[in-house]
Amino acid sequence: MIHVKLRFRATVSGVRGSKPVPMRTLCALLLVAGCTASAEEVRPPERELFFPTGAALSPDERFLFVSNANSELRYDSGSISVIDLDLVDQVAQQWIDSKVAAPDCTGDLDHKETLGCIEKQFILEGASARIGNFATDVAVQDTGNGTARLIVPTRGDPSVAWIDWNGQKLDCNPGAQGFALCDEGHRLAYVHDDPDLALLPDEPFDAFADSSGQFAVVTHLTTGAVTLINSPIGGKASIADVATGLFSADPLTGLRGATGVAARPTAGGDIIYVAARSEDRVQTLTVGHPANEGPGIPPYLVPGNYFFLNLVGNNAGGSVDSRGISFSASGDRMYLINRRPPSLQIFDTSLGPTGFPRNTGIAATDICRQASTLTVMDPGDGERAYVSCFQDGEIYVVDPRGVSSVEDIILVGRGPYTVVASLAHKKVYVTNFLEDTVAVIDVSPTSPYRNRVVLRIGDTRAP
Amino acid sequence: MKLRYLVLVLALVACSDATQTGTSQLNLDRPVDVSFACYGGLRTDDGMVTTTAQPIASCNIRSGPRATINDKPVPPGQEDRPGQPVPSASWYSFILQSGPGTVGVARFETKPSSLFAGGDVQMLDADPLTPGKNGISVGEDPIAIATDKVGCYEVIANAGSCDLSVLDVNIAIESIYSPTDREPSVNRLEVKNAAGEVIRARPAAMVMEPAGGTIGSVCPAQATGLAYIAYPSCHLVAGVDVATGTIVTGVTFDVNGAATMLADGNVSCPDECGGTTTPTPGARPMALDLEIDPRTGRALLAIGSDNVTPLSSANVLTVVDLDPTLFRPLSTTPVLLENTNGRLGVTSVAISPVIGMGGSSGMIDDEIQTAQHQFIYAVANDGTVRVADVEGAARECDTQVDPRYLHEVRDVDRLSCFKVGDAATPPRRAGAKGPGIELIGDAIATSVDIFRVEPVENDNRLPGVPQRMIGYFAVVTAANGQSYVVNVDNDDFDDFVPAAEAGGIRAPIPLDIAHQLRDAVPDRGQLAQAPSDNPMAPPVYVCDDPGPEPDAQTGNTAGPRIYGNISRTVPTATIAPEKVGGLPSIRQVLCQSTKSGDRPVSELSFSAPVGVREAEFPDLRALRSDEVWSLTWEGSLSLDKADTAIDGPSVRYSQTFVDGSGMRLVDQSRPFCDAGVEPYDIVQMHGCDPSLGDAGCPVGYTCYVHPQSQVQGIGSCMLANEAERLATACREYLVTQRRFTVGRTKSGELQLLPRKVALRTTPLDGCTDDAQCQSLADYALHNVSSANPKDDTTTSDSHTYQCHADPDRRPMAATTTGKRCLMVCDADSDCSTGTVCHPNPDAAPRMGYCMESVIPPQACVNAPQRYELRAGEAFAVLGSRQGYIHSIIADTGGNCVKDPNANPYQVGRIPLDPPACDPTADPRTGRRTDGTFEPNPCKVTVDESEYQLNYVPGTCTLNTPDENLVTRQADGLRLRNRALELTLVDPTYPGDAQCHGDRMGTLSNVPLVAPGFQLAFRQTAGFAPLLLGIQPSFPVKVVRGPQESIWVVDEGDYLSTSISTPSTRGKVYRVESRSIGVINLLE
Repeated sequence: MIHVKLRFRATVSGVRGSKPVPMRTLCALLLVAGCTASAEEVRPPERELFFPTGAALSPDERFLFVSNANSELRYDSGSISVIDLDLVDQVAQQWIDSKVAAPDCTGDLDHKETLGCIEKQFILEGASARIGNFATDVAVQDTGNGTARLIVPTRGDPSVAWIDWNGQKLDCNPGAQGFALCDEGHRLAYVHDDPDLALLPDEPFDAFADSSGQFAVVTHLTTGAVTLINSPIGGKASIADVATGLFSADPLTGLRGATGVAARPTAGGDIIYVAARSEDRVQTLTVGHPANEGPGIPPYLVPGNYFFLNLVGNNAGGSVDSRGISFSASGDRMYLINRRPPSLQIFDTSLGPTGFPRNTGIAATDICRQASTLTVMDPGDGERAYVSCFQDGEIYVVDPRGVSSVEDIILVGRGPYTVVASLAHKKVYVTNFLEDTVAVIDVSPTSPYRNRVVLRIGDTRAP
Repeated sequence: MKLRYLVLVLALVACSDATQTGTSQLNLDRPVDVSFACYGGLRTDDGMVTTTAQPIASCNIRSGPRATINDKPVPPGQEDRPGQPVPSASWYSFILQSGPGTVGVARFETKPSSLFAGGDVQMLDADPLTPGKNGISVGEDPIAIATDKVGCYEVIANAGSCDLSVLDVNIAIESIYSPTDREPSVNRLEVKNAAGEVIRARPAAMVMEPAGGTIGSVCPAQATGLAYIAYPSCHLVAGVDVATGTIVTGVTFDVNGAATMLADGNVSCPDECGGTTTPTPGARPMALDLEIDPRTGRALLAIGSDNVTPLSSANVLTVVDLDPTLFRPLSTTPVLLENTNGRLGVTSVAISPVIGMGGSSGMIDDEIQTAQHQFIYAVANDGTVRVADVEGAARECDTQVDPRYLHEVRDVDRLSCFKVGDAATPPRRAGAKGPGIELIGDAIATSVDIFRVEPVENDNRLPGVPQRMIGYFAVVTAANGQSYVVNVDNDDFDDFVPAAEAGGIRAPIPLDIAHQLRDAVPDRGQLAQAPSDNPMAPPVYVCDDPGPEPDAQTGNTAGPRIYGNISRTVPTATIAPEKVGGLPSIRQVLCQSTKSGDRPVSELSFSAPVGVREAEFPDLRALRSDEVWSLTWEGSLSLDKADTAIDGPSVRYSQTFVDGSGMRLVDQSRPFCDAGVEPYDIVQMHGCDPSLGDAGCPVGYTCYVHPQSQVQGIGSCMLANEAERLATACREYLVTQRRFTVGRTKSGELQLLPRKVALRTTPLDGCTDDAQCQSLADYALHNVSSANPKDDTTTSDSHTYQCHADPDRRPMAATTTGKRCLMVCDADSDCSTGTVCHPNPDAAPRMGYCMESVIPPQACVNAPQRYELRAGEAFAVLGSRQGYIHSIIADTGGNCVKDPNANPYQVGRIPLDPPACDPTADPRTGRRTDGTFEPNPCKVTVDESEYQLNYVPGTCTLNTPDENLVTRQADGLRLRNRALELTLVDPTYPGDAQCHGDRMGTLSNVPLVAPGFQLAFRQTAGFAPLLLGIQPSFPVKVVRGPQESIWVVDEGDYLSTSISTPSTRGKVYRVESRSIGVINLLE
């Protein structure tokens, strides 16, 4: 492993805030158009979805946090919306049971099982927060007592926002009123918060938050770097370490890419698994806490064993370009999606007789092209993997038992990005990036609409 | 920016060569299954000639052998008559595509397999108005297709709509040839129970009763026959009359996998397609096969189920004997499979015919063999293919019996199936996952089928050539894209090890017996022979034949052997080149030849006597095709580099903690037992590489090199703002070699003990006094000199050694003094480079011991530590592809312990003083008569042949000849691992009296090895599996097609970024089983 080297920049001021260059461009365009947009006019709507990307559940599964990427740069920032899932359940169940549509909702003419609703009614008012543009993911760290911390990487100005959830609202700008933009203290762009030390690498991609370990890990798509964020409960989050050189470069592009990240829970501390875009390898990491850990002595990443993706595609693909990773609840199975060849690969990560995870492939399934993310849940009749297929607008439901087969293919909308599963609600939630909606899939084995979109949250944007 | 690119692209297109690489037209989309029908001219029973679908038997006859190229056989009654010729019939394959829910149609001629040459199977277009070759829409998420009994309909099971689709073959084909006249006719057929209630369960597999019908009969109005359909969630295999969709029979399973036959179709299932599903416990049938044996008429249905409640033996395979006429169940028999993973499940099954096992005549000889067996191959989710013998009492066969135990077994009946768990079944090979057939590496089997391969007429291939297949063979597809061939009954090769000399070389067990991956390396029996000087005499043995060139373009041949010399790596400044003959080496044996002359050869070489070769490579299957083996004194336990992941990274990272209990290496991922580390092994800290600057350290840390350190290339990551301040406190740690002894071993923690400097020439029996130590220290120093002993003027060792016990090193045997020569000191200047003087009262009268490492303050090791795990006082034996083989597991407390149930060949280290071998033990296996095993490794006295320098007496001048061939008795250390057996000779050296290599010294049990001394060799011609020469991306099914053709269905979806590899959305291959190089490809 090579840890990131110091990178000095000539000017460190003036680049704070969200996506300054695009905003300048936007302002310039607005000037050219002959109008002057006020701050209020370019402020994103608090209770609307706009290019939703990441999503994650609150620890009690009552709320869904959705990151709005503002990919059109229509507004001056992205945001995090908070969706009330109890209300979602209520509206959806009413539709399922009696076909009664709630106010601001209409049945889908093409899919009788689907109800479409304006999102405003589900998004908590006064609970949202504004972040940088081009958010890529949301990871939630359970901080106990119904509170949580959100870790949100943004690509626009490579940074990571950390936002505290007190059970009712998000807060990343103490003292500010209303729908506030995260302040500089909640925007992590420098390692150890030291502009002279090192910058956060470009293209933050996937994020994983470890509640018990009180840290988060962010991968970087074009550098292969892995960033460790120290996130002590009650304390300030900070970038603790950046590991580079974990993966080999793509022989064609020369780029290294770290993609999916997840952790296998173990007694001694979770083992982090990171997949790559540029190599058919999964690298494990742990987080080391120096004995004299303190404010100035943060934790660091410790590389562990690695293994290759030899299960699928040695003939034609080599299993490069991996994307999402997810573990079963027990940690005994790791699910990994790969784009070349398109496959869901299942690994036995149970502890072997030596006490070390086996990390051996046990099954694979052919899936859609351009799969993005996945989640794993047992809705009541065995574990299922739900894979989002960005290009096809579908969710593949894979039954990993037996031959590991595609059980269902669900049309969810345009540009499905992140897929999140809630055991409490027996629902799967999918952010549809290209149409500004969140699709709600009923996955209860006893539902007549099992594996169907029962609710579409958001006013579908025209292509 | 984009516009610029566009212009550039347009410019490139405009200026490029007119010759373009054609893009492949992709006609298939996620194929998952294939079936076959016969369509063409038929004289019906009423004498009319028509063109129609007809029984499969019609095309089978037409595809039979031909006396001449134009002498095409026809079914009785289908001969041309004057004025009434009967047009030929063709095969049609119906390729089920799960993506669009369609069936693609392809055609090929009715002709013998031998006339296929590639390009014979052509896709047809069901919709010529749409670009590409289009299929026929049949249903939602179809999972299986089968031709009905009389060959007139294709029946499709749909998982998406929980029903069946029935495709009329006649209309389907007519609509292809006359699209304006006909449209394909697909009828949806709901599956109903006996009461007429619709069953809406999701099917997972379907098989149809064997083809029948009468050639000449016209097609009926509905599909005909009984289809068995597996419904996992309903725990049911339903026998469905495809004419009506009514369940008329079947088999249900309870929670333990026990089967019950259905007297009728009185069943109910959860509604999985649009209704509610309440999961119920029970076995989930997932895989089916149905075969009727042509010789005995036995009809069997095999059912493989998903994992059920973890049991010691899993009820996941059930055999159903069927009425051979009606194909209704007569009885069910569970086949208990060893539950190797606690969740065993079966995902694909294949039934063999009843086979007369054995025979090597080159003809299928089922009738004349007494050992009659019928097998079921079952792809299990433990990564293996299980085998059950269902002739007689059903039982699982152990396919992993170690060949060492079968060398003298010649009972074909017994060799055909070793019952799992039977006391008479010999032990498995070390490292076997279970009783099933293992593919190579991480390959995961996806499907299996069994093929009967008749001999090829006038076959000029030599018997034993891998591609010459005669008998019964299975093909197993794997998710990695490979298709493996398995010997079921090879009627073209020996059935056991021939009793004749070199029998085990020519016909090793893995090539002889059933249920073994087929080997792809030809001419295994080749010997080191040359033509005799007398042309009429047989070849003579030679001693200078290294064996065939393994890297030849034509591929490797012959048996396992080493290739090239055994390399020897000697650490610098430990022994002069002239004296390396005193170091341990791999045994050489005497090769005797009248042609090349006698000479010593490595026991692993091609020219070693055949008996030795057989013994050294006892299990061909356990040898990888090519592998570099290394034996390194105190070598690394892990070899992984950037491109390998076998036994862990050679250089690892962990944290170090120092507290009142000492120093500990801690890793949350708990890799230490997995690495095979044992107490008294060595942890070599590597710190950081100063040449990388601070890049090797976490952010905020610097790679600090202590100014007094004389150890090259090792810094230490320390907090940038603390390094200078800690320089003094950490000095001792930073200037030493940082080599620690491992104390307690746990899966996540190693206790590190500081390590005293010990004299490497300390006798294995222990030292006796300080004077002896000092003398041996001088001897060690003299070994560095190239001078002959009589001329050696090397000064004495300036360091002081004393004979003391060292509790921090591996305890010595009770028969020794228990003491080692340890370097003692009063100050650092008394110690060697990279060591420091550390006070210790045991070192009296000196003040302390010279230490290779010390326990530092915690602040010195706060950063993650780079380190290497090394074997302590032993050779680490590692294969480049098999890694470090060991038997260390974690006990319930997480302590690393030796597995008491480990295979005796699960060994990867050789100490210099192992226990003695047991002369009463079996020389091939090491097993004693009481069933226990002699120590492994063990010490033995062997003959060692070598050339010794021939000096003029009384001088060190070489005489004529300058060397003599000598065979002497030598101490040997014999190691048996799962792949090979070898003997290391001369673990110690008596020393020379006058000249190099005269062996006239008087030292007793004094070793010369130094850490890092390594012997390495390339073993070649290990097992290489025979693979079909196809390149699927994700093969999901292998199907037996007409004339025993092998059809591999590749569901894989591959978006290529390579110029040479096209994108696919799945492919279908037809491979001729009698000539596997002939391949037809559809995509």
